[in-house]
Amino acid sequence: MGSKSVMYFDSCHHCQGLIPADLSACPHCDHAVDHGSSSPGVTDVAKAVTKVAVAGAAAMTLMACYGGGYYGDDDGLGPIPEGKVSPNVACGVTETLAMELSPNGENHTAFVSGTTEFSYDAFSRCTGPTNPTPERIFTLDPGPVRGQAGTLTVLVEADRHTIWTADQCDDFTDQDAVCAGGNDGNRLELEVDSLRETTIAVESLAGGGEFQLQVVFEPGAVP
Amino acid sequence: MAGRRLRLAPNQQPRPVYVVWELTLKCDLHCTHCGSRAGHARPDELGVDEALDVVKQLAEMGAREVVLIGGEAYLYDGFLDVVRALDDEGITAVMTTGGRGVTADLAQQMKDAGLSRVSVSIDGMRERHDRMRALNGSFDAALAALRHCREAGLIVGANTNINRLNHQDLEPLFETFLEEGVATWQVQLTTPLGRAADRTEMTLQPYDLLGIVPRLAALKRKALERDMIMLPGNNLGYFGPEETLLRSPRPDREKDHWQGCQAGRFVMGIESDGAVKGCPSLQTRHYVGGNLRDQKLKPIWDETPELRFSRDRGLDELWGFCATCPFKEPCRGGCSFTAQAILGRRGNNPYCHYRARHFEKQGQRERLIPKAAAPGEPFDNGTFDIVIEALDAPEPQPDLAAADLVQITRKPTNGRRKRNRS
Repeated sequence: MGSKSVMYFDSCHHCQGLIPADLSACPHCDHAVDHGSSSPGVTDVAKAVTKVAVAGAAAMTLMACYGGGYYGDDDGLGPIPEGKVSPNVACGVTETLAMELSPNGENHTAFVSGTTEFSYDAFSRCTGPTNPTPERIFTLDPGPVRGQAGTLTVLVEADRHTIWTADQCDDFTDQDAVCAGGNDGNRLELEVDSLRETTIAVESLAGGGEFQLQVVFEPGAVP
Repeated sequence: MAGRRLRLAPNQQPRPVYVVWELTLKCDLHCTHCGSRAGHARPDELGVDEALDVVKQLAEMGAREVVLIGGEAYLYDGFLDVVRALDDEGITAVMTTGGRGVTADLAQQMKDAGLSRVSVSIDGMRERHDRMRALNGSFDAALAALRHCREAGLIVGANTNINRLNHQDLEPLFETFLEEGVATWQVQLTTPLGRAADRTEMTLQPYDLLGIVPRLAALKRKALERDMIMLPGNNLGYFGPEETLLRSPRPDREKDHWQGCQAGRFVMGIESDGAVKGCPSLQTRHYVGGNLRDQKLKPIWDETPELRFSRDRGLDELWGFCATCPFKEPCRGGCSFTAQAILGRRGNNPYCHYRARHFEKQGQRERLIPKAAAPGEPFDNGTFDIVIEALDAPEPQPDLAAADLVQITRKPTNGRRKRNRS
């Protein structure tokens, strides 16, 4: 994207218009805005803005006036080719990520660090821990919390990575894959009725490089 | 496999992800607003073997979706061969068509060859569409094309040009598309390009956006409820209150906005004689970087200034209102070919909802007055002057009835076309 800087807009809750950060009033409806977090004493209108990250954590749909309408692919990674995304199909490497009781004993966690290389395609080439590859795909072993209900949080602390999870190791589809992407770390929070083996993919599509993947499971009733 | 929807990352290298490829300029319609003035094939169009080599080059360059257009793409001798080759390379193949010649047999052949989607150009209900397409029966043919393609298992979409002739039909069109199973609807402005530049009465005035954009936003909300993907084309915007609603495929999930012209960044156009541009609508005279008969695609893409302009430009390219706009950083003056078609150069684009609202607040509006005529070539343009006048000034050009604006003629003319002013 060249040298184009990452920008952030606020979104005016009064008119839903975008507000550049250097303006003190909405350019659409003229309501005053406070670009900082809301705090006591700030008017209701000033509180009524929501940060909208653009560029860095955003996506765009490529269009052209002679082009065809856009369809699907709205997860930002394009249609996932059937049969190409299984770690077994990809190159036969499956990495296991085992849940363990956290040091404070409050939850169960798993952690791994690694590196990916940038690729334009999702799930296009081999995965594996030996060399930097476009994807790293892990099978989460629930261990002692297997079958429990709770909240599974998947966090990638790195620049420019995307994470995916799926219930089935052998089949990512548009329906059961969950995606989060961005430049400044990604976080997925999934409520599960009964924790089982879960496939987690760290995907380099947004940029690649070093990453740290952390998984935290907090048992508890799921609403 | 990444598709047309890209996550923005600072280190993404420009590549032709989304390509619109005019296979032939031969056409079975003679549309009054056609930017390429299609009808007859160009004199030196790429042969099938050359086209198949282009497919390989597109795959090597990272193309993910290629839209085949014309003229009519299906009138190109190797049309199905190109579709198969794209599919074999894992590239999503799409066709945009007027639909006149899309029979059930052809639809099935396209599906079997690997075509993914068909987008049929439908610009209004029967009377207005037929006027714009200059052929009675073209509306019914377009609907038949939708049905044939849907029955063949293709995903069907529609694309609509909006102008002074047809904007009244947007709401009934939406309902028609729902009834016809249209999955995706692209709406865009008729820009005075090609034949539309010969009919300046047809194109909207900038202040028309004050009414049309909120109407489109209302339709977008309905589309979301009905699971239709409705998106504006690149020349419809920018940064009004409805920006994220209009620009986001799923605004409940992500809030997109206009990110500037992507011509030569992630979008590319190919003309049927091998000429390469950053966007299919860009003016041939100013924006062809090279020809695939003379060079491989990669050096054209990587090195030519005509393809690189949107990568290399800065804010200093902006002028007029756009240079002062609070949204100038991401917007960069909106659609490049539209700005060029109005004022003869990029960087200042009066077709902007935010801009129209800005003037509205001051009780003013901008009106375009034709200044110079288009020379009569594919993808050409004339120029306009902008006058600022009172918002409630008498309307110099009220909406016209279809029959008053465009006369249907089946007789093609050679060379330059006469202006058709009512």
